[in-house]
Amino acid sequence: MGRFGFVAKRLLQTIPMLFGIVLVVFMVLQVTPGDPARQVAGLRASEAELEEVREKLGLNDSVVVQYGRYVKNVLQGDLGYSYKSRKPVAEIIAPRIVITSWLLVGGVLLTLVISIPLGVLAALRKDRPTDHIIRGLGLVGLSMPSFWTGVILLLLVALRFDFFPPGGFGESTYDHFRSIILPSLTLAIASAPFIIRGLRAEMISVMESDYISTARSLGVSGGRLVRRFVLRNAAGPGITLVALEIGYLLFGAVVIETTFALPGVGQGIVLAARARDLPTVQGYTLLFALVVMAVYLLADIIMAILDPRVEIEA
Amino acid sequence: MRIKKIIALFAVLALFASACGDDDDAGTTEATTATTAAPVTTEAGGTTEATTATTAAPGTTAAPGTTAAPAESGGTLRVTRFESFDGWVMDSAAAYVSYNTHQAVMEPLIRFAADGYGFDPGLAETWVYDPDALTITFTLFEGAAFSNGDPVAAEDVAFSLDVWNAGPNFGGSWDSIVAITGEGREIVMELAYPDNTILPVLSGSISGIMPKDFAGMTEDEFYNSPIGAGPFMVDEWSIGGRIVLKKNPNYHREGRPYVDEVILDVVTDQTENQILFESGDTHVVEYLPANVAGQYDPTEVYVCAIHSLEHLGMNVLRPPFDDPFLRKAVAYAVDYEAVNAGLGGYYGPPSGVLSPNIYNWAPPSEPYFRRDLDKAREMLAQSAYPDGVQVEINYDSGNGVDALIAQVLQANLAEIGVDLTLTGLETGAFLDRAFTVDADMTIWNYGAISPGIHDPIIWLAATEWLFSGWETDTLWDLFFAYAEAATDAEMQAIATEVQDLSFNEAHAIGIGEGSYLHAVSQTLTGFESAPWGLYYYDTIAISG
Repeated sequence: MGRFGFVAKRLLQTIPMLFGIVLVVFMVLQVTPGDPARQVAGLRASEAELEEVREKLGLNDSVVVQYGRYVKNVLQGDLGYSYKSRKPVAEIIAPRIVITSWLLVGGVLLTLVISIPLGVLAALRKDRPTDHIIRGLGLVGLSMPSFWTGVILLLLVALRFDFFPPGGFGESTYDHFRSIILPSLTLAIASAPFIIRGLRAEMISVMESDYISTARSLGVSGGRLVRRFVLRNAAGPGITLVALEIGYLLFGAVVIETTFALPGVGQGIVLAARARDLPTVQGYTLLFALVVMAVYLLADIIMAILDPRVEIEA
Repeated sequence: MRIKKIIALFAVLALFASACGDDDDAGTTEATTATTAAPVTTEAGGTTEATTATTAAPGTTAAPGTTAAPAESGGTLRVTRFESFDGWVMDSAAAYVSYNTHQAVMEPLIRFAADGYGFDPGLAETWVYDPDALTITFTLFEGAAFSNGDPVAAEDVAFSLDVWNAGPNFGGSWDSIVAITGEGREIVMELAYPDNTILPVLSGSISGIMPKDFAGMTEDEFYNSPIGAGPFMVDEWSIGGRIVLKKNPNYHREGRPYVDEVILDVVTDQTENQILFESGDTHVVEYLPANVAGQYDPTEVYVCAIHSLEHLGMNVLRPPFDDPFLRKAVAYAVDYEAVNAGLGGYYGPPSGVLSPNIYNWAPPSEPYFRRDLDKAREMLAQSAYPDGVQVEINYDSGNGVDALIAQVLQANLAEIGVDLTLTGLETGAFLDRAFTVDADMTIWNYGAISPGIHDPIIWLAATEWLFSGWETDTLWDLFFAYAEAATDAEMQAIATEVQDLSFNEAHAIGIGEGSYLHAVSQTLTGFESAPWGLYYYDTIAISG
């Protein structure tokens, strides 16, 4: 199977996965207590009026019928209408995607900026004080809950330096940039240790391999050896780790957006779930699933490009 | 008779003088247009002219932002709230923050006054309620117009009435209005019967005036892009997201609103709200929970008159709380002081089951429940459960105050052998169980939305006496008697009767009374909130 075949196969695999995810979320929302009709009709609505709302929203249909209807609409590009605002779900989610994208891009960039040099340094200084310090700092980062890190950054940085807004997304691009630094740093502090540890372990493994000994014996050393032989070979698993981290970052955004009052998809899904706004919750879930699967797929494709063994294993 | 008239005349003059002395932004217009105390029928049964109601709400604490607003301000008023906006359908909104937003855009004919007892002008400059003629005559402000420029007319009010009446929640509230006529600035509502509840209802955000036929839009289109005649118009909005309100250029009151723009953000994290407030990035944090308010600078906490009522409902539809002795044992076992000690001093022991500091509130005939363990044990001994019983309490886990109270109750009831299992549920699930009367006990809290004791009475009926499953026919009878009562004394007697039912049957009891709280920046002037926490954005100016 060539690389194209591998990518096509992975693409095809995502389709049943997508249906499966939507089905699971659909079922979970069905069994979650709380009547969406009451959220729509209001607290003082009578049982008869609630029943009318249930009928209107199709909530009295069987779960299978509701699921089928939802899938059919999604395939036609229609995510439905919010029970609460009566707006199209896509219209509700779209502006929030922009904000979360800023957060994710910022988080990934800062994660890479922090983790690549530290991972390389830790590997090159294996078992020396520098390595211990880097690994120790990583442990600290891992053990701090994101919301706590966020609050600490708000108190220590945002309240002292006007440059960093203590919350919100601001109005201009410049505001967005300023607003996203601390949340991105919070994400990076939580996720960089994974990459550092992974990169360090992979580099040490590569450095102990025969071909590196061969390269050394041929006189290749220093930065050239690290860049051309070690990093390139250690990059494959690193990319998978980064892809996994993007999935983590997406779910971490739910917490970070709450801490920093960023009106992104993380905050949106929490509020929609509270309001039992099922179409909106399903829309967000579909988005999360699509993003995670797209990232994993992208990681597989990059791996296939970087590492010729991938097609053989596939 | 003559003496009463003289006293009434002096009272009106005194109130008028105090209104003039208050000299706020609206100046002469405000003073002369005056406000109507909640509907009162004179002894002769004659017309009640609009009078200024300035009864001080007891318990009001000096608060930030209450000085008169300057004539000019501008700028952006930034407000954050914990709760999400419910959308623009006025009838189905449940969150106080939604009511605040609605009334800024779709202004009612009259406004409730901040003291919780009377009314202020809204779209109408004056109004006269004549219970004999069965009419309410409103005179609109000169130039009252929707934000699209169309003048407000009687047809718009009549259309709005149809929309209100169709609502599944409050639809019956305007039943007494049988016709709306009028020409020019005059709008006349004809009533089927004298109705003491109608002016308070008309002052609530549920009575916002909409343009006839939704200004040519479909209903869905209108609720996506609402148009009103209030001081602000909608620039952008989303549920759970940012709402931006811009100054309505067609607003009828000169100089109002003072700010150019209001930005409303949902910030669910309490720490973040505080940080935003302290850094000056928000001017107002609406509805601070009492257990959080202590973290703010006290000089920036606006303490409304005591009104929020924490309540406990016991399920009478099944054992064990179908036993009145057990209910009373619980009522006497609760340590009301301990319940309130954990709430930062913003709460006190209950005085009944009706939210206080509202027009025609009255206490029960006897002193309300206080902790008395001997009496509690005596009641338990008379019940079918002398050795105690295991019960479950349902509460909203997202409500820190209720979660705290549930724990206090657990400890209190253990002292008489009642083993309480705490079931904290997410709001949607909590409400589901509460409204289906599915739990042994339920705690929550409520407040009114309009100035009249009938408002809490309706809520007691709507919740089957706060989720106990107690019959509501009696309550509805009392409500209708209230609506047609001839004097304040009669209306207060009805309030007492409701309180007495709570005390005697102990199916639904108050367990604490507190203040609604807002964090309000010292840079604001003109901030004034009703006891139930609702306020108007257009009276606020930014001074710093």
